[in-house]
Amino acid sequence: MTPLPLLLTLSSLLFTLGLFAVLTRRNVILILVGIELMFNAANINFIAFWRYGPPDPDLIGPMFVLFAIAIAAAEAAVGLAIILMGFRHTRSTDLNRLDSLHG
Amino acid sequence: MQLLPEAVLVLTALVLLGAAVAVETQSGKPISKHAAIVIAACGVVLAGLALCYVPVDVDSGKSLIVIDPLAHIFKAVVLGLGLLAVLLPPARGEIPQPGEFYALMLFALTGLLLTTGTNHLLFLFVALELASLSLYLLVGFSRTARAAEASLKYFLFGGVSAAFLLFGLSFLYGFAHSATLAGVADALGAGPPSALAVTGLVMVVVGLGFKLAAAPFHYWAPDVYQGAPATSAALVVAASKVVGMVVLVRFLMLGFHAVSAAGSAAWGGMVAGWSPWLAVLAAVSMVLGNVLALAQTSVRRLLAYSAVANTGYLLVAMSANGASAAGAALFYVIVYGLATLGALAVTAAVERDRGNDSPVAFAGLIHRSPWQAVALLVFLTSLAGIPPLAGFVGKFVLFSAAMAESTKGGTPGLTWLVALAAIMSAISLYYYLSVLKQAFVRDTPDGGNTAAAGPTLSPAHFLAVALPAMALVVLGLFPALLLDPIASALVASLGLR
Repeated sequence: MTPLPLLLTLSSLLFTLGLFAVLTRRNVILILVGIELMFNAANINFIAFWRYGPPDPDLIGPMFVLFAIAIAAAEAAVGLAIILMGFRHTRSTDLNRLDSLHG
Repeated sequence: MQLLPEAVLVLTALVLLGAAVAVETQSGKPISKHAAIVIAACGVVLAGLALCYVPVDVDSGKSLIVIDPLAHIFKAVVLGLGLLAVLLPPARGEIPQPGEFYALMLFALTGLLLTTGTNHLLFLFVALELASLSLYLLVGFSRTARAAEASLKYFLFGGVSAAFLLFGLSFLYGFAHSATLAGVADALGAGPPSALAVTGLVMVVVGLGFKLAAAPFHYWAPDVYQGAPATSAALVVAASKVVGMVVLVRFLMLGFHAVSAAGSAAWGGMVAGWSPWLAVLAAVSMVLGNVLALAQTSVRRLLAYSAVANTGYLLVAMSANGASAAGAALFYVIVYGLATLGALAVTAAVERDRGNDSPVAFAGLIHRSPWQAVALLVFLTSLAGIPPLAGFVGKFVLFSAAMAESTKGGTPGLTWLVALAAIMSAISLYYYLSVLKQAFVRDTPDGGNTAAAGPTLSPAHFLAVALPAMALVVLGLFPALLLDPIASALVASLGLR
């Protein structure tokens, strides 16, 4: 048996863990960490499918991972900038303090 | 040559950034709003001209970038909507640094253009993220507490949806061992869909559902519509929605056509296809969007919930799974984008004049500025679907195509869903008309200076209101101008009949 199912289990666990952090945490920094976990779960999938799938001369899996890492970094940079902007107004990173917009 | 419009946009953005730095070091003040708008608008127009020289070709399955007829039409549409958004000027002092703001606007447009023209999963993801990351920043650019909050919420929801999309794409790659939609379709044609393909599809639809503001994933929409500067909100509501729809059509009609081929719109097809699932999303979006819109006291939030409802109508057509329904949905999303963008432009004008965007602020608009009131009438009645405007044609084509496609096999198909859509559409009339009633029937509360000068708009703002209104009237009278090209583009690009 190939270790593919094990790796998929690991990535699914990581994704669920990230989603759980996003849904339960009130601190925006920790939510950002959760999003990064979810991105990395996808990266594990790409490498696992590439390694244990049929031969792939185009290296699509590793390509996906390289681009995903770069995008996750850009996303974190943009996210921290936005969080900082919010912090200037509320002096907090607590999501519950952000309630000026409602219908 | 294929990337000429995108190259023009990026070059303009760099020129704009350079000019902003030069002006700031020379005079110590940021570049003026008007100069930035002129440069950005010129860039978008030039990109439109460049688009005429891009060779149109069908997908050979080898290249990342595909300029098929569908991509060509929608690049033109996105540039048009982008131009209107650029022309809608921010309020005085709303944008502290216009140079960076409009450069980001051009980067977002570049991402949206790239997204329309690809069948490759990796390229699609990168292009979509280029657009999204620029949009998050644009929403928060005005440095008010409301904009910061809107931007943060947009970013958090967007980041999670991007993660869902990427996770879904990883399963599709694992299933098809290919990163093209054609590869996914081949793998699906080879046998029954495995759990990998289904998981991948569900996650991708969740990711795209966020982009389109479909019902359970719509929480960001009202806050972004309300808190963002009008200029960036216009780009989000119109261009980003149109592009999301194009991507959804490519995914479902090219990649996943096979899964749902056997008339799975019937309830019996629950296990096999994505249609019933999409139908449920459509129903939830329509009901939730329309009902919540009834209770809004801010016209911007009202437009946001109407956006959720309109996504529901679009998903009705997509769940019918047919070429004519997909064509109708693509026509409708363009018409919807024009109408919402125009309504937002009028709302921005009223907001600057009266200080808020409650329906009451619209009272007496017909006396203060008759042409703005008439334009608002065009936008809102088009959204409500009243003839002879384009919104009526759009809804009519949408509902009848969904009905015809889904009842092909003699089953009742989506009759229930189309009926629900028609009822919800009637309910939506109430909240659109309540705004129009204020504008046309009520007097301005402070009476007095109604005859005095109403809000005078800058020429750019005038264009951002007048052009979509004219487009809606023309498309309402001659819908074939756009319907026929879209239908033939679907046949040529995706091989749908």
